[in-house]
Amino acid sequence: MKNIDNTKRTIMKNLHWPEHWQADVQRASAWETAQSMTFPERKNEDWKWINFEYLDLDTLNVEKPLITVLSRTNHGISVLRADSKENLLIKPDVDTYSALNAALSEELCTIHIPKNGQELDTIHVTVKFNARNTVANTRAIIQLEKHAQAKVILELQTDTYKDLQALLNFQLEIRLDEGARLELMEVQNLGEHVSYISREYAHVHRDAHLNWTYVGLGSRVAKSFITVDLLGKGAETLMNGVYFSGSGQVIDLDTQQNHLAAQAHSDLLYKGAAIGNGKAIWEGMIYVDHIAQQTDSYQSNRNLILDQRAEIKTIPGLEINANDVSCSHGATVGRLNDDELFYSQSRGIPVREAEKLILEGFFEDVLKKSGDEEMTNRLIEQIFEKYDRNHQ
Amino acid sequence: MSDQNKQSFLNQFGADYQYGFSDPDIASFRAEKGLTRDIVRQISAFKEEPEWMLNLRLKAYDHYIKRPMPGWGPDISDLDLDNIYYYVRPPEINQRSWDDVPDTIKNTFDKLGIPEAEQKFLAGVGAQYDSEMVYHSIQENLEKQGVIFLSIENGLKEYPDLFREHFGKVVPIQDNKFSALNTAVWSGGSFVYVPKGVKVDLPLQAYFRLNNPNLGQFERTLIIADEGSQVHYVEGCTAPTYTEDSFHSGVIEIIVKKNARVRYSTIQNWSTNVYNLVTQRAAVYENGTMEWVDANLGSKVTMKYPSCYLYGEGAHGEMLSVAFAGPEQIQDAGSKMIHFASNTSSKITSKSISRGNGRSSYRGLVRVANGLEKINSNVVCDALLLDPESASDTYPTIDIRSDDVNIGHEASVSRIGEEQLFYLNSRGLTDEEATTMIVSGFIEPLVKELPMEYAIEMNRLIQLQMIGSVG
Repeated sequence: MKNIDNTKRTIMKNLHWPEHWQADVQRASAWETAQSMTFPERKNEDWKWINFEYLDLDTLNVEKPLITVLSRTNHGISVLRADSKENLLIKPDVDTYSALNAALSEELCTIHIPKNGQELDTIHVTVKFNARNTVANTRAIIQLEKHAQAKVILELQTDTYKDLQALLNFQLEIRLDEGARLELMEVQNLGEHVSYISREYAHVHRDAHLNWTYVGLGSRVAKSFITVDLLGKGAETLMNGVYFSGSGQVIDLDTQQNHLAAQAHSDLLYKGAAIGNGKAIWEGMIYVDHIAQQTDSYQSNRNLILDQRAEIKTIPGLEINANDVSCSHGATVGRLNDDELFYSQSRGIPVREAEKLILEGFFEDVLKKSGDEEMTNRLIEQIFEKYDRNHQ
Repeated sequence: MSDQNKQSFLNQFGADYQYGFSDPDIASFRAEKGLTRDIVRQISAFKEEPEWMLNLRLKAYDHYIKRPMPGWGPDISDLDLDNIYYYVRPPEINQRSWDDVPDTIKNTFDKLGIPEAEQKFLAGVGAQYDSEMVYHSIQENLEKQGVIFLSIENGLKEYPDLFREHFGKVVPIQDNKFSALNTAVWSGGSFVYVPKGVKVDLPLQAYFRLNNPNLGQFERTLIIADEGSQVHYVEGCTAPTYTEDSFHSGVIEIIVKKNARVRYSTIQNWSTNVYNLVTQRAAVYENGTMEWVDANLGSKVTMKYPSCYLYGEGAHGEMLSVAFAGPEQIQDAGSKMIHFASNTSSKITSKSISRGNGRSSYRGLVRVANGLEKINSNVVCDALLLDPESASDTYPTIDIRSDDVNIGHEASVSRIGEEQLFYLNSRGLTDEEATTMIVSGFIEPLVKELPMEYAIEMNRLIQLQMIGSVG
């Protein structure tokens, strides 16, 4: 085991190799990997629309976030501060962020439902970050054994501090064994000074079902890679997304539906909006392996552009290597319908209220798929608040 | 090409591939393999070009050397750019009359059906053989109307000012590595000018083909449609088989002025050892319309994304394409529609068919610059996969910076339905006949846009591609 000398490390000045992990070979190797890499640049295809160059990494200090778990039974949940021996789904050598995460992250929480276990109550995990000139490397793990079921809400929050910086490097790993069912709603509601990078990866095995709703509202620049591998017959995923980018924000999402086994089903619907000079970017891919015959896969991205200064990019993608498949995708960009606005005005509803009603209808459609009415209503309120704030 | 590859190539077209002939090498001058500043100077000297063109070529050469290979798209690492002749000149150039054309070249054109092109329903023919125009004719009434249809070299000699005003403006040197290469070594191609208000009723045609092993063909075409004019330009090519990898990298520049309308049709059928890396672009001004009709059947790797830059209000860009990727082929084709003005619209229809381990990809871009109003764009891609080994990709990029837009994209991938086959079987068709018929129906929207003789050729080529596709 090599002794790690902190004094030579320059990747981020205040990141150090903690003493208590000296004996952890996997982490040590990931730390070495991180030191050997540079942060991704725009010439890398995955990062061509954004980067974090404005961040002064050397001024950031390491933080440990505050976690609250709301669940009546606490069944199967552990908030782990210690090291997990699980093999990670996300490989450390993808980029500097994944290497740093593999080396330094402490689990926010591990939700583990044993075989045939059913968690009827929604497990609601809220993670609050300090985010005052700090960096957090952190991850959450959700594992459902055979035929287990659970509903999870995961919220990432911080306050907004206009003049400060923060970097949150987050990973989410999901493993659904045969026949397991997970309904997951993930809400990124970080302060608008936070730089956010997340890698999120789900393994869905035979006959398992993943209903995954992603909501991206906060942060200054957010980049999320969201991947689902369908690994067995009858595996199914619904991927629902809502993202809304306001002035000064860039939200950039990459989704990947990987059909690696026959007779699996995936259906993605992401809806985005941009207001002020906000930028909203979505890039999606359906990959069908040559063994994945009888794949049934869809991908749809709808966008509303609410300001002349706003920017929308949508890049759907298909890579199909089997022929007996049904795959399609669609993408649209449009603005609020003039006829609808005119009609609303003729009924005495002011333009701004009418626009909000249309926006509500636009997003509600996706949020409802999560099956959580209370969260849906709360998120619509937040979207309204953001609309008002950006609509001068 | 190894014997095995050659065999699979022949099999693909049926062993008696009718265009699979190769004439004895009669080229009179060849530059050395590979490219240096001196070769660029030689090319320019042979063509007796003005100083500015030599300088432009050299500037393009410098950029080409500096520019890295594209970091995206299909694998073209087998393409050895140092093992290519960058200039070959046939013995006779630009003969005006069919009788003067050497017999060997005539034979080749015979097999391609060129004599028909003389018939009165064809407006004019510029046939490219190796790197120079060897044959040119244009109907008298077109000349009277002031329509210019010349080889690109003669365009430069006879209309230096018009040429200089437009050359390299639509596709600048810095655009991409291969357009820089083409600007450095271009040879052959057409120069077309249609004066104000003139409508050319019959399509202008240029057949061209490759004939030397390792010959890089760098044709350059410049089409200027002046205000209110109309023209349809047709480029079709078939290539003989070779023993080594070959390379084709053309640049097509089109200027569609106010109220003008241009259609550019291509049937690309290079032999399956050719790398075909082409830049085609039109600048479209006020109320102008540009239509690309594009069929990609041949080549080993094609990378081709005809584009419309819509600069004027009311401009419209359209792309209609079909790609057929057979065994060992990659068709990476698509289109770019860039909206720079309000009230502009664009439409892309792309159809692809993959067979064997062929891979066809749609790669496209729709971009709307900021501060524009009333933009419409619609993209539809359909892919047909004929067997479990074939593959299809779709990579559209939609980049919107204005809010008054209506943009749509749809794509689907499917195979031939069991019910369709069953029905046709029940009517007495074999699986192969039925599949061919369904494929013909699939590409029908494109075929019916082609001039009659091309439509016939297109259908025949598809039938050849389909031989051995079932069972």
